[in-house]
Amino acid sequence: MHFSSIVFIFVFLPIALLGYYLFYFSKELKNLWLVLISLVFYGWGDPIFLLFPIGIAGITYLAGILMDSMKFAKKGILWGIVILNILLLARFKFVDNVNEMLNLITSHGQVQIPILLWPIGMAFMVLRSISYVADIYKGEMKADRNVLHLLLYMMFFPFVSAGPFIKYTNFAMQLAERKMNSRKFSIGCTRFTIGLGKKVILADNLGYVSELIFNWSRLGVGNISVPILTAWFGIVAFSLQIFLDLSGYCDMAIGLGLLFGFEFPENFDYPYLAANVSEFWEKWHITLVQWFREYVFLPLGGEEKENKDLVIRNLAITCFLLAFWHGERSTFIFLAMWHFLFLFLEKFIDQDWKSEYKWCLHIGTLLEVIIGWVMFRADDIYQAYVYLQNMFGINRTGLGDVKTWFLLKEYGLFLAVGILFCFPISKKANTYLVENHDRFLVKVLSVLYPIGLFAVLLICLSYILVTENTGFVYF
Amino acid sequence: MKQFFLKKKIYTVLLLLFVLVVSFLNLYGNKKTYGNYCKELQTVTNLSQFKVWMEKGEHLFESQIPGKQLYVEIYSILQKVMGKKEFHNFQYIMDQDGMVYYGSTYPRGTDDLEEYADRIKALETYVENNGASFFFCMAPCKITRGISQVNRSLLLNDPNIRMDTLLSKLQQRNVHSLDLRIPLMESGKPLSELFYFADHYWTSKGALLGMIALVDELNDYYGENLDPTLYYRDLEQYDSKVYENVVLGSDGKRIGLASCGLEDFVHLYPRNYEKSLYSWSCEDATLSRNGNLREALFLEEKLAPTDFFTDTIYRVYLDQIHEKDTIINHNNPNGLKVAVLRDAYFSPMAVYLAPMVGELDLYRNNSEAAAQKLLQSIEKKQYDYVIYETYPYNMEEENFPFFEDKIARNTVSKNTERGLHEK
Repeated sequence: MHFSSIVFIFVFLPIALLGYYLFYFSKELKNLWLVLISLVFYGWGDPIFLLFPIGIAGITYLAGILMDSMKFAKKGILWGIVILNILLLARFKFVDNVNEMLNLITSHGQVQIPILLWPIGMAFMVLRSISYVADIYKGEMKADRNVLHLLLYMMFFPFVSAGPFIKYTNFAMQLAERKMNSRKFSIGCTRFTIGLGKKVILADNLGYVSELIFNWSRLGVGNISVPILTAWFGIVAFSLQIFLDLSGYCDMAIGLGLLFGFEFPENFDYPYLAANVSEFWEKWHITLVQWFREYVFLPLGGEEKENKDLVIRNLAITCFLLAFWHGERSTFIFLAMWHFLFLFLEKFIDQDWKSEYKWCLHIGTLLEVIIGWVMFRADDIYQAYVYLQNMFGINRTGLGDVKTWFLLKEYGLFLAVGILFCFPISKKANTYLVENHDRFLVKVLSVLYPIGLFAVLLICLSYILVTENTGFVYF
Repeated sequence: MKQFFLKKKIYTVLLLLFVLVVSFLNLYGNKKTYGNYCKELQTVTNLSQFKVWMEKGEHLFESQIPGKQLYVEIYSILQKVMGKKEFHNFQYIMDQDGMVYYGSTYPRGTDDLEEYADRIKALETYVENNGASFFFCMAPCKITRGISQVNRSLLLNDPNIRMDTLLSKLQQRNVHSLDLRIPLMESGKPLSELFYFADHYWTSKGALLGMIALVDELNDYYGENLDPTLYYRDLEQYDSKVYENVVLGSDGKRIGLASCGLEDFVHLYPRNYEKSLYSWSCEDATLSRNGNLREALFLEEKLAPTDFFTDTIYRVYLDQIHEKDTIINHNNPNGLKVAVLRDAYFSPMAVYLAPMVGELDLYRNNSEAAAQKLLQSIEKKQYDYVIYETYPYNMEEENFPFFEDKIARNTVSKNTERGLHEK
């Protein structure tokens, strides 16, 4: 079940909210209810998957208690949890690669590791588990004695699948002290709808076009030519899809959190407007990147001013671990190398350009990111290679053809609206509305706002019901 | 600031009311269905069954959502406002005149056709061994040269290459074929007269032209003398009655009324229908009718649809398709006995062909059971002709459920039972 499914919107969410507000008198009962509905959410597709969050929460809980009660071996427990989580991640993400190697070694594939389905949100659970014990190790917090709290932290349904990541101290504080009011609730509802719109109306449509064009560059479909403009259209569509899909998901997660009184951190800050690659990673999937910064980059030594070699090494390790965390595809390693190259260069190149030439940096960064997404989107190196060749006309497929214009005509509007979402227009519009609330136009807009948002909801439902409902990029 | 949040609060009330009302209507309005669904839980004994049960529940809730057609219309209006010509991610493409075609984002290969041609050849051999004549009949589609003006460079699902390839492979195997694209091309009629805008089916006129070509083929190639007065092959001898705005084609049902609109149904029937006596029966749906041509073979009550989104006008011809239909022309007891392994495309053709033959047995071509029945009947009934008809988009494995490759490539035994799907 995902947030953009009919069952979630019309069955799960109303029941979750009704149950939650029935227990208005007791915070503990409310928390217990949240655990129960999160278990239902997580186990919806396959109840066997419940073993993973319960198992991870149990082990993390015990590790926390042990670390708290023991004065020695803390480091050992921390490393134990880290290795355990890495092995768990590898067990699911790299089983294909290991099997391929075993195939080569045993030549007949007699030895094979069984392939298991990937439990939703597993990668994020691993991060939560490590951060929990690491924070106890660092002395930033004490282990929580309530195992249900930790279970909820591992699998609270709004953020279980793709974040945003939140530190346990923050979560525990909200578990104990969160307050609910109608304003929070209404912001939650609007935020959820906006996220749903970004995902269902824009990301899914753009995702379809990008999938189409990428598949034309796949092994075995060599008879379909992809001209330069089509290739660029495909990758720009994907760049928007991944942004709108992820930020849409986070909007929904933040909105859902607010419905239950929780406040989650923002995860995106108009990343495509970044002036350099470092800035991009400060604005993209902020909480995830912060996790890697806090739990990988900084413990390695971080930005040691005296020794640039060390900084570069730390950066490289962080980039590659981030790629490893994302998955088994070899293209992720190339993506990590690609971004590392630019992060590395930025350490040595003076970017203090005159303001009138700053746009060059923005465009350069955008190009770097877009080209990087080819490696993220491609299923394998061959596809990435062919696609990049198409983008730069190396395959001599021409500038454009009838298909290019047809695709542009049919999906250009989604592309244009998607691009608008890359700019802080809504932020500025909100500020304008607050500052000019007495103006007639603003009053008219205020009346139209709920109608417009309701129309967005209806459009989303029509897309969900009429077209094929697709999952999220990160699931 | 208060005012700033007021609009969000109004939306929240709207949202909550909407969600609760829709959920309530769905659950209350279908309480029996959900009751039965819940009872199914008692039969669940293991985890995998439980997963299936849950999945079913999800689909059930989605399918029972109240006013589902409204959402199709919202989608349709939106597509229209955006000026879009593709629907459902290129499943359908509409040309500038509003004609809907199947879309495709990948060219379909022709590798599988070799196998189908072999099976058809095996069928021909078998039919001929039993004393009947056999030919293959390729139904037309909207994308036909000379009729359709659609830009072929768009992401269309153009089956012409596959059609030509199969016909050529059959020619190599000396299997006689009738290509029904040709009479449509030669008719000079516009596409809109021959096909529905938002359906893949052909109109009565299109099917009538197809029937004329079929009869011409039987006369010219096989030396029959059907319809010697040319009465049934003269369009002037048909009365036409126009039923305005009654057709929402199968594609239109998915795309929505706002984009497709309703179409007219032009009902064509021979003037002399009253003097005739026919009977039609079908095995699986237990329908049977007797009477003159209009009473027995046209289900004219289907021409007054009560719900455009669920009713299918095409059912006016023999209720569309069944496992096996039989038409007996009591006016022509010594007429030809013809068996047709066919899809729904052939239904109107069968109706128009009926006056010229004695008996028509129609077998569904995507059913293994029907194909088996046909093979058994070929031995027993001594048909004069056996025709295999297919719509171009149906050239798929499931539509050739007879003589799998091993048997087809070797010898086709008279004892056909072994030849049927040795799986």
